[in-house]
Amino acid sequence: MRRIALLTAALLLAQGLPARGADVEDLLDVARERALASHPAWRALLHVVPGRLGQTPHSEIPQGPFFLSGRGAEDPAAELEATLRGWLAGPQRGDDAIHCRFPARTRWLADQLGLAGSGSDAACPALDTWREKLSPRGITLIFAEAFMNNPASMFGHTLLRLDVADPSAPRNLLAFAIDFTASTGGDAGPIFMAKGSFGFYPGRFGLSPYYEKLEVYADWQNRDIWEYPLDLDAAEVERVLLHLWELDDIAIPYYFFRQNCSYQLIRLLAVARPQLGLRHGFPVSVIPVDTVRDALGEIGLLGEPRFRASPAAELRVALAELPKAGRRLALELARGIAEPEDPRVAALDDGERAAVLGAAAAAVRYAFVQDDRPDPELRERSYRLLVARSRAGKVQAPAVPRPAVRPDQGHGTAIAELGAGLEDDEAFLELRVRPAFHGLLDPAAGFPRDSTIGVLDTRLRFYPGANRVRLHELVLVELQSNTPRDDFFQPLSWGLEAGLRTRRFPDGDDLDRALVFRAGGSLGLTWAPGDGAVTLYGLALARLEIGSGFDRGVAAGPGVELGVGVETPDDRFEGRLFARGLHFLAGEPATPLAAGLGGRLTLGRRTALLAELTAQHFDGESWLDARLGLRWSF
Amino acid sequence: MRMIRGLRSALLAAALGLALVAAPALADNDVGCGIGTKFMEGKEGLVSHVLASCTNAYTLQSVSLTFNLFGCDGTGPVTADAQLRKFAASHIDQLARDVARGEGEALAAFAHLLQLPVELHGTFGEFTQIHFTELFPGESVDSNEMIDAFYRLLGEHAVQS
Repeated sequence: MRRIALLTAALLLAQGLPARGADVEDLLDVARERALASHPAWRALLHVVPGRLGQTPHSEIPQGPFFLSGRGAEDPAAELEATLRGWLAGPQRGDDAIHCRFPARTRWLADQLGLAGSGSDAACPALDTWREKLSPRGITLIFAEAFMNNPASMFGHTLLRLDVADPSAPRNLLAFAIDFTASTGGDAGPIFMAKGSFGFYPGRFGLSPYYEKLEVYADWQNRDIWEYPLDLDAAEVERVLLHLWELDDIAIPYYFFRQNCSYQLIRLLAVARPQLGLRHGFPVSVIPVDTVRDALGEIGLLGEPRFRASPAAELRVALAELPKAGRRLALELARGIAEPEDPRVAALDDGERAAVLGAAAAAVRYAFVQDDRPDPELRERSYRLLVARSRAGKVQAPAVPRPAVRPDQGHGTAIAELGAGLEDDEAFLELRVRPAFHGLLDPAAGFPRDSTIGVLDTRLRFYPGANRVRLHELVLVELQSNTPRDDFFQPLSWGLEAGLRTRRFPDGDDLDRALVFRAGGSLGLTWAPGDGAVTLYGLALARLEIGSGFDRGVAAGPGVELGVGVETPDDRFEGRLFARGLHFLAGEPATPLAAGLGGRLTLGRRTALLAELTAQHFDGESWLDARLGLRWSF
Repeated sequence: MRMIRGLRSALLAAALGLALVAAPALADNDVGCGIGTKFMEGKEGLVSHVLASCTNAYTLQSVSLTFNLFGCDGTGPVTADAQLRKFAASHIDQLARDVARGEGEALAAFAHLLQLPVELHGTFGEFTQIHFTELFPGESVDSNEMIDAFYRLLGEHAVQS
């Protein structure tokens, strides 16, 4: 009986006749019977996520214009009913028709209820113009790596590109990119952090030409970019596009750590694959590279991702490929010491001249972009170099070698470690957990080199002798950038840290352990002589320690750290050696010294063996801390 | 030589086609919607991007699913010429670099906006490289001047051939 009613309704719709009330009721009955409101596809369209901690499932988009029902955000069934009723009763033509405002929802309902070819196909002028303008052939997930010398950007950034041509064609510069952006209204500092952490900023989806995005990420920020063409069929691409339209000007609370840009792009793609982002979940925070892994796992790749080297990486290679004299000449040209008319330039053959002038022009532009108040003379210098370059004919610039390991193939962003060791003469077992992101003794493959950032790095130690567990370290945040210098790139190395650490205070014949809050910063230089297998660094330190172990409760002062790092080319083994001296001048006077070595041996894709040995000297006492650990990344 | 002539006629055809489409937009001073100036055009000091997570503080206006697809008043379509000018304004530095070396992705996209068939992109690169100083007569050329110079150049070569 119901089937007949449904058929009648479908026929009526197919003839363009308004459905009668009874038909809607029948369709709703069918929808209820088939539990369409709890279908993963319907949930994805409404951004409904499973309730956590006893909550019922609800939408991540607040109640408002995104819903037709006044209870749509909490009740997917109510929204389904409101959609169906509104669609069948409301105006069938024009931009305000329900199927023009919510084309992905109505199309899905039409498919499910066998209404295809009915009211949902009536023209929607604004939507149709927009779709025609975009006409995507596919979707590419764009991942921007960290920018040089800035560990804070290491988590990366993601966009989606609506391809207008083959994924690798230059035409895609003109394609549109989708991003999800918070409107922060110019807040800064702690207010910005606090409001961003608790979702006080509205975020919105935006579309802008891909070349404008590259301008920011590649050109100004010098980030390497990976382009992952996603294996979505035409119907799935269409669904994403129609759903994007539904999100036009919809404000969604932006949370820095969880519901951030990368997360919302995953929610958008989920209308193509409803399992996206839900199978593994994102426990604490959403790290962009993890969303790339999730998308590749659920959707897969259409072809090999493209690597787009930053202008800085291109410049580095262009300079490295030059013979020594050519490199010197290019740098003299870039610095204005030599002129393009220099006889040494004229003496080169076309190929060499093109390479030298091209590298010099790129170096000038790099310097210009890096500088907040660039020397106006740089523009004239760049121009003259380009004029000279144009006369050297067509010579291909050297390509930046594609990294062997892609960002999605690097180690897991969270680690857990089980270890055992000796602290002075007392044995301990250690459990370490670090939810994010990349540390000094982690395999560098797939990660930006020379930068590290750790968040909530926590070590618990159990002493079987005393049958006691204590918190050994809780490092809130620790970041370090040790980018090597050469004759052109001359960055400063720097670092910041804050967290709880254990310090041992001599007490009579004993050494008492006590937690101190430690904050510090460093500034220095790093070199990588030869092929980069060995790095050397020197850092000036500033350190503040607060704890009841100090007689005056606090100690602060400067210090120095020197170190060496060694790495095998296959990244299987890494070793580090350091020596550090501090001199506390304020608060408690003291001169703590430390030296140590550490090594990592990679065992498998997720596992590694670690060994660390540190010698410490403080307040007239010396002791050793030795530790062996097995690490998993996930 | 035949190649160059073929290119010229293709360019001419492209330019003519474009001119027809673009005629109403040529007087549009609003093209680019106030895009910031670049290296070649001179620019304000760049803000250091220090703490770069994946958040961005933009004005509300620029975060939109329709704004960038349509004209600056938010309704009219972006014409081919306006699209060309907007791209050139944003990528003037990359275009100068690519023209100087006779090839590159920005130049290829520019050629595409001129509706030039892909087979001719190589020759197009050589053609622009030879005419670098005409397209970029000084260090502070603006992108509209460059495009006007480009059309002028096409006109001259069309007359000669």
